[in-house]
Amino acid sequence: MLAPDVCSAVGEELSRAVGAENISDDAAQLQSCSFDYSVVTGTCPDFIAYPHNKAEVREIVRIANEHHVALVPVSSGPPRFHGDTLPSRGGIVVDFSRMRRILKLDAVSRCAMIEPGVTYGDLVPALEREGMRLNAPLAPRANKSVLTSCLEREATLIPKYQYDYMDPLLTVEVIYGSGEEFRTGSASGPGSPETLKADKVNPWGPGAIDYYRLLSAAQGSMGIVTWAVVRTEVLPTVRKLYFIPLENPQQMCAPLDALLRKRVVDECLALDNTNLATLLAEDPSRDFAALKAALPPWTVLACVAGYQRRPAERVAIQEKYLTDICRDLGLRAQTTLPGAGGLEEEVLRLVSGPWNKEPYWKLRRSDRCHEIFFLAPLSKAGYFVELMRELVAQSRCPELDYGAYVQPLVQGRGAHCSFLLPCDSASESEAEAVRGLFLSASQALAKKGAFFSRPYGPWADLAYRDYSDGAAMLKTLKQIFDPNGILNPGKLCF
Amino acid sequence: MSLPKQIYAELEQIVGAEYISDREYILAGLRHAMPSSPVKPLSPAAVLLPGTAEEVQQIVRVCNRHGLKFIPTVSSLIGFAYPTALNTIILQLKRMNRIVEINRTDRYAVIEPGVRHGQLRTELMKAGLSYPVAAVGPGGSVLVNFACSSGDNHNQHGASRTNRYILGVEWVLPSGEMVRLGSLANDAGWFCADGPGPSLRGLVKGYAGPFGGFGVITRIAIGLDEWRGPAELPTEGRSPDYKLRLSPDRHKVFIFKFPTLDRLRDAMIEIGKAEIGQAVLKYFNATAALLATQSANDFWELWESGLFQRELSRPLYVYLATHSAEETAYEEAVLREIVAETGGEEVDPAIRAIYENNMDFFILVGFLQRVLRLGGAWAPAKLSADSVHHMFEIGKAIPEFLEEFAAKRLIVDAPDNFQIISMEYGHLAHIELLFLWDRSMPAWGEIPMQVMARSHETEIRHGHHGSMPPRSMPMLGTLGPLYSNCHIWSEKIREAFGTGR
Ligand SMILES: Cc1cc2nc3c(=O)[nH]c(=O)nc-3n(C[C@H](O)[C@H](O)[C@H](O)COP(=O)(O)OP(=O)(O)OC[C@H]3O[C@@H](n4cnc5c(N)ncnc54)[C@H](O)[C@@H]3O)c2cc1C
Repeated sequence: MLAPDVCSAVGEELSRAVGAENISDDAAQLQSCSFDYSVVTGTCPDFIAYPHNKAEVREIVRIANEHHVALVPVSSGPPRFHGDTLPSRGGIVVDFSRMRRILKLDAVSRCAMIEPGVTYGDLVPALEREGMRLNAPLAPRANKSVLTSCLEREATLIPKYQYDYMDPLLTVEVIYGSGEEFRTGSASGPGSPETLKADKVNPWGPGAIDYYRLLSAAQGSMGIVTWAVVRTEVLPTVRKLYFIPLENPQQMCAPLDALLRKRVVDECLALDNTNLATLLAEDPSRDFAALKAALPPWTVLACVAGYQRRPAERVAIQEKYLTDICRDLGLRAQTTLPGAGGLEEEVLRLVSGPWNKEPYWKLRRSDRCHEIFFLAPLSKAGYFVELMRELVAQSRCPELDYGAYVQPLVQGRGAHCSFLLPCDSASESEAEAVRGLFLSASQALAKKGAFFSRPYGPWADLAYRDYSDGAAMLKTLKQIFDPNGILNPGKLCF
Repeated sequence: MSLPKQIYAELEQIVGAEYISDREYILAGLRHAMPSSPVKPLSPAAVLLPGTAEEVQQIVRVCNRHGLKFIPTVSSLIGFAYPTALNTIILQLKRMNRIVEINRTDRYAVIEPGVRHGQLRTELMKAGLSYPVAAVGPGGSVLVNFACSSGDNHNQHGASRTNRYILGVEWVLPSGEMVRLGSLANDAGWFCADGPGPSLRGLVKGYAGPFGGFGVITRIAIGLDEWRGPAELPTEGRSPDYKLRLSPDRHKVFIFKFPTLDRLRDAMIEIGKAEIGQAVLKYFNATAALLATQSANDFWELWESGLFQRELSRPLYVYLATHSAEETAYEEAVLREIVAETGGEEVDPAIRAIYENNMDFFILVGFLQRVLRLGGAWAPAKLSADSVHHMFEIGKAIPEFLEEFAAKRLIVDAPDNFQIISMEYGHLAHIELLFLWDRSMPAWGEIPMQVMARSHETEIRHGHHGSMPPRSMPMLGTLGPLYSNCHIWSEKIREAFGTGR
């Protein structure tokens, strides 16, 4: 909490900067910013500010520097899971929900320019109207900010559209912690954003530094991004979803790898029956168990698509590759969902846009959950799934019905592995056991080579404990971009 | 100028007497900068050939102790590989040429700086794998192209620029410390470049690399794609008269010409949206003529015939590489549909035959050094990337500044000698304008500077992102403010981490 005199000075300056109606010091609202579903302990901010434009953001950053007040940028609505938006020492939560304009949709150069408050719920339908789509994560919540999802390098569903882990983020405008403004890649210039004619789709540079990478997975600790250009794709005119049932997770690598080498499929991922049933159950309290029992232990979902030209021919060629690959591997690719025929359309919807129901799918079976996610080579995903099974079996909650899924990334050269641990807050001992499992399993997985590339909360220690030279470099950069350390202090190695 | 004895001895101790020299006749060979550069080359103080990353670290520390500068280099094909200050030593990395690992399952290769395209591509084809090779040719270093210099290549339509393919990185900082980036940082293997947290990979390379101005990269992993050709390239004849043709069932080359740049642009955009093709580019026409001929006389004969100006001023080169005859037929049908809609026509069959007979143009670019042959010099004026649409806007404005130089006969009259290469299925494209001039002209060293300055002026006037901010500090000082003050940020970073050069 700020000292009373600082607090009132900051409050006054903030209301001058953004208007009194755009700041809040309402106790209940402040309180709601201090906790989420993670294991991180937060503090109450002193204010929430709702900027509408860049000039206001710049003013907020100036005020924060002047008074040495922490700023925590928040762009998505709740529920939140990672602790990244919890203030560690009060300050100002900068809430971007009122900076929510889609600035440009460009079907020729296939990109969208968006403000931080634009959500998947906003952007996906807007793109569809223009014949475009987004390479998005699996069923993101509708109020999730597209900009921060991209900036945080969240795993997306179409590996063939990912050339490295930064996709689909292209360029950004940022106000660094120092208060200075910068634009990355081909948005950098020459000239101002108004006079620059470039479409701002070249992410690299300017010059010999990839500035956008330095901002990525930074949890808002390097700069505040005021707009981003993200890559969009042609909306398919024909799509066909295939299901490949698997007996065990070790089988997933071969078909996914073979398909992605050939760039055959669009959306693809492997889910265990717990997660698939969680996503598909009409009412989980009623039909989750039966659905889970009916589904194969693991299912690969793989979508083939045709675009604007000769789509049926394209799909036919891709289907042939897909069925041939599966046959050669002794697997079956089918268009009906094994064990739950009739739900195919629902699955297609799930991989095509945000989650629109309440509660968010990760909270469908319990009122809390912890998620362990990391990167690994696709070939090791099966190993980590097995390892997690052993870790759960040895834990204090061996019967926990956790869910797993694996999303191939970057042309299939890597994979996002996720384990969703449900936990009911009604039982304190259960909640404690699951929390313990979350922490100990994260450690054990990291020890075996799981890469916590986005080290939220306690994972920061796993990532930086034995990486002091890298952490020192990050601190040097932090000193350059945010010399007073006002941006989201206490996160990562800062 | 050679090194003081005691420093020489310190360095000798690190690499051994065999791998260090300051003999005049050795250094003389390292004084030859590019013929295109009017700058009188300075001599390095010594040349060292380290064999390991540890040796590189030790050398860098000795350099820091004694205030020496160092330049890492492999094939030294570009000017940046040569000293620009006294007391500079050359770290010639050609001994560090191990292919450390080819991981067929996870599709990556771990390499040292001395590994050349010719060496790695050959090994990878046997494993059914490949990567996009820059047009520098088989002798260029793979690591340097991916992590330290540029990275554009003919195949980036169905793939990307090589900077996209960097995975784990092992880097000797200007301080001599060794840092590992990406998944390697946490002992999780080589597969990922970014993280943990904010990606330090951003310091290794942006649009271009730091060209040896920011420590030494001693190992990288690069991502690999599937190779759609045979395990060995089938050549007929002998260099330079060889042919390299791949099965037309799966590999096909087309060259179309278009009445306007707008039509050509529209075709490129549509091909991208249809996600067909491996290479899709508007290629240089004078460079194409240089590649198509075996001597300077042959070139002038061809150029003066006007054939390449007529047929290749607005060409679209398309190389299809697929997995089956059926897929090739599908891609060809889509391609022909697009070309018909946009008003393209096939070029003279003799020109198409050049590329059908030498498909290595799309694979290894075996004879690119022919572009250096004219005896004059060449330089790029434009070098950048953004959307296909924007690149063509830049292309259309080229005559605005180039014609006056051709009219004064300061450069070869080749206003269409620029390439626009589609990348990542037309999501973006790269532009490069090459101009050629005669070194026997008086004050020839001024010509490239003048052309580049006029090119910049045109870009600024139009708001065109036609060249990434240049590296030279005087130019950066003027242009940096127009590019988001990037010169200030890069300088702050350099100051914080040191440079080495
Ligand atoms: C005719 C010709 C055509 C070209 N075409 C292309 C092209 O199509 N696409 C493209 O991308 N490039 C092209 N280039 C540019 C360039 O030569 C290439 O990028 C090439 O990959 C550089 O590799 P090299 O072995 O020649 O490196 P070198 O010339 O030895 O070095 C290049 C730069 O990298 C630095 N460097 C070398 N090793 C290291 C290291 N280990 N760590 C840090 N810095 C290091 C050097 O100091 C130097 O500044 C071309 C060059 C020529 C001469």
